[in-house]
Amino acid sequence: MLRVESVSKRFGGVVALDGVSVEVDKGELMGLIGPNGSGKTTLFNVVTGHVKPDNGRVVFDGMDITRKPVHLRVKIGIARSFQQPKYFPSLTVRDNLRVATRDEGLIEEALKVVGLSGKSSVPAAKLTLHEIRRLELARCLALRPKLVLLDEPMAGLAMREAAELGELIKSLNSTMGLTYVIVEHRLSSLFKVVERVVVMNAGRKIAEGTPEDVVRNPLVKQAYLGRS
Amino acid sequence: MYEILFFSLVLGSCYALMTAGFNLLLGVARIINLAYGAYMALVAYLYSGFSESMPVPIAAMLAMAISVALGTFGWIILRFIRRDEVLMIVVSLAIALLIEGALIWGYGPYQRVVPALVSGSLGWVSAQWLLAILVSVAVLAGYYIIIGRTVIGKKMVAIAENADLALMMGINPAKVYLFTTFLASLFASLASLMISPFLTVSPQVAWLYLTIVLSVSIVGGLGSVGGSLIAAFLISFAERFSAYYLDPSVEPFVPLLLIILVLLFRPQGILGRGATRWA
Amino acid sequence: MMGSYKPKIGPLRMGGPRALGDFAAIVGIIAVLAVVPFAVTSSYLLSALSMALLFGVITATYDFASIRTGYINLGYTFIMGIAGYVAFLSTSSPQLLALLAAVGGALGGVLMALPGFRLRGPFYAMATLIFPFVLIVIARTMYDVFKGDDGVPVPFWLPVGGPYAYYLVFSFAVVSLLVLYVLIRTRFGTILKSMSEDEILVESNGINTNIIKLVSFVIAGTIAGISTFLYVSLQGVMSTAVIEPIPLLIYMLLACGIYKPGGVVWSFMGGIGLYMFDIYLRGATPELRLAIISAMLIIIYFLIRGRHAAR
Repeated sequence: MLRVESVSKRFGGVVALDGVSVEVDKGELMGLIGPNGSGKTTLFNVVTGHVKPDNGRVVFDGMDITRKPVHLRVKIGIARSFQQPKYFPSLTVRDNLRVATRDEGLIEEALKVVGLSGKSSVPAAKLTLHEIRRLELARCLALRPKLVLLDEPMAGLAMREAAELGELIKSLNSTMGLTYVIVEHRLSSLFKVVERVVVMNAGRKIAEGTPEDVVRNPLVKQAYLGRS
Repeated sequence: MYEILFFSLVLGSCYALMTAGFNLLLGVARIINLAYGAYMALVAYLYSGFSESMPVPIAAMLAMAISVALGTFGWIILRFIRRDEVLMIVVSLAIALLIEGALIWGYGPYQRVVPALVSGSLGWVSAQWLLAILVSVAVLAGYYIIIGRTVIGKKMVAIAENADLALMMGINPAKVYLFTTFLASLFASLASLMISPFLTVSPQVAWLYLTIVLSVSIVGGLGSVGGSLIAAFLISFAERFSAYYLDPSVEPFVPLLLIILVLLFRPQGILGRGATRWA
Repeated sequence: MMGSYKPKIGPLRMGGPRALGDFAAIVGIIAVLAVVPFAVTSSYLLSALSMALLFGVITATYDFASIRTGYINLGYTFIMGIAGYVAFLSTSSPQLLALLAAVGGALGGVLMALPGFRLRGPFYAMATLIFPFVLIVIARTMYDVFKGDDGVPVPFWLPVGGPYAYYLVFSFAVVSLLVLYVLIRTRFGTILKSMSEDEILVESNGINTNIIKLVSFVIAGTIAGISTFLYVSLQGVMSTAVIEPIPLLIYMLLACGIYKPGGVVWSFMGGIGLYMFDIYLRGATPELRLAIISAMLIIIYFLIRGRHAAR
């Protein structure tokens, strides 16, 4: 479904991505992990169009989207959440979703799925962090996506909240057939959700496999513990 | 023909000098000072007012001293407003209006002639022209020496590049900002003394100055001193030559055309960095 | 990166369902303005009030396109200039004038939206500030065509000062205000509002923000263009005075800041009030007038500062 082909990106002298290739299959739950600054968010930005890569291609559903602007990628089915949660604080929860779609029925449904129906006319500024993460998910759903990219959806949540969010993501995957790529630092919570993990370090992909495989991989251990 | 070439050079260096000050404030201290044109008008008025009662060089120096002191003192206000971009715009506009009002109050709403700093000429080149070029070149060369050779200049560059990083490296920004404001006031005052004798000056000239400064800095790159040098000569030559070869009525369209071209094809300006989306 | 999230306290904007209050205010204002000609007999005051109404409409469009989207435009009078010159330089038939002013206003709106494709925040404000100043310079230099400060004379079609002119302006103002009011309550209005909060997120919602900017400025420009046509007709000449951004632009900024950004009705009222105040000020000396205007700017400062205090 999504194919990232040897993408590179430099910011000034810093190499953020160095020939990264990743493939995501339809209906898959993929985790993307790595130490801070390893290029995970940049990879997201390349896929969503917020960053234009220096080299390489991004192919979605057989279509080369490397140069497409952000809003067109959303239209063909790529939705994302942000590491620093983004929302419109002065708009109500429902109005936040109205920006995403004109379909009121879809808005109600998305709110119900994430459990925010009761707060639909509350200004988003009054939500708790946990609710904001859910609002972001509802916004992604309201876009009728095929692929959802979540950037640290569990950061700052309590253990139980994170587990709930994980369950929600999993159930959406099985009921609606959504494909996910999730960046997350809380590996234990993440590994309960995803089926496959890609590990990045210093702008390169260093490992790939099931959570169990990846944890045992010596390269991954080295990346997380620092090089000796 | 030579005369046009030379006059373009004269006006270009005046444009460069005045825009350099504006962009210095914008680039280093992140201040948008829309009172910049009014400040230049104030300098012109002070100078022309003093010149009625004392010899021209002394009047010029006195006007310079007062205005640079005022401009540097203005940092107190600028520091206060630089926290929010919209407020910078609003308050600096208010200051511009206050200055304009003060000029009308003090000197009346009439046009007045600003005397040239030096009289006489070398052949067809008037001495004021030569002086304008010499002063601009000297000041801008001095600026580049300060940037390249002195500690405070290097600190200025560091803050312009990355203010947070500079702060972490232990640079005290307050001093640097004060010095930047001083330099900007110096540039503006000198530019005003150079260019005002070519114009008929009324309190509204403030807005003409501001239009020139903004046009040049958008073409050259907002916040970039180097870019404003290039753009200043580009605009000045394009104005003069379009008026000479095409039609004098084309002249005012030239800056607008250049601005539109720049916005379309290189929105950050000729030498501006990609930071057009600051804020 | 590890959960260093601080809950963001939203700025103190009252964006919620205040529809009822707004609605009551609208009805009240319309009712008061509708009976004004019965109470005011001075034809001078009546035509001044007509012009204030038009300025109120222009302020409301400014609020709609510029303040609401967060693209603070400092050259809005450029739209009035383009609309006025396009109309009054080409025809003298009133119907055609109105049409051409609308087209000119829309064109001006496009030109004002264009810098916003690439520039944001203060850069956008600075770039737009140049437009009216350059137009003034052009109008003065090409005196043969534009007649500079003297202005292009306006064909007589509107009996200025009588209740007829007032009610024409009044009905136009009511219709324009209704259009804007309905628009901000649609999804388009929600998107405009969201633009000022987080443009990147708007893009991530699959919306081409450039189109939004363009459409909002074209709508605003069209209405402002027709307002300019009426405004100039009342005034009698289309001159550089119409384009002069100071102090009109400051009044617009102030009017839009009085209550809350995006409340077009309040901006409309603020515009009327400040325009009447400006007419009153014209009796004062120019320096006093400038001092008072700049004091108003300081008021804007505190209004905006209060609003952004939570940032």
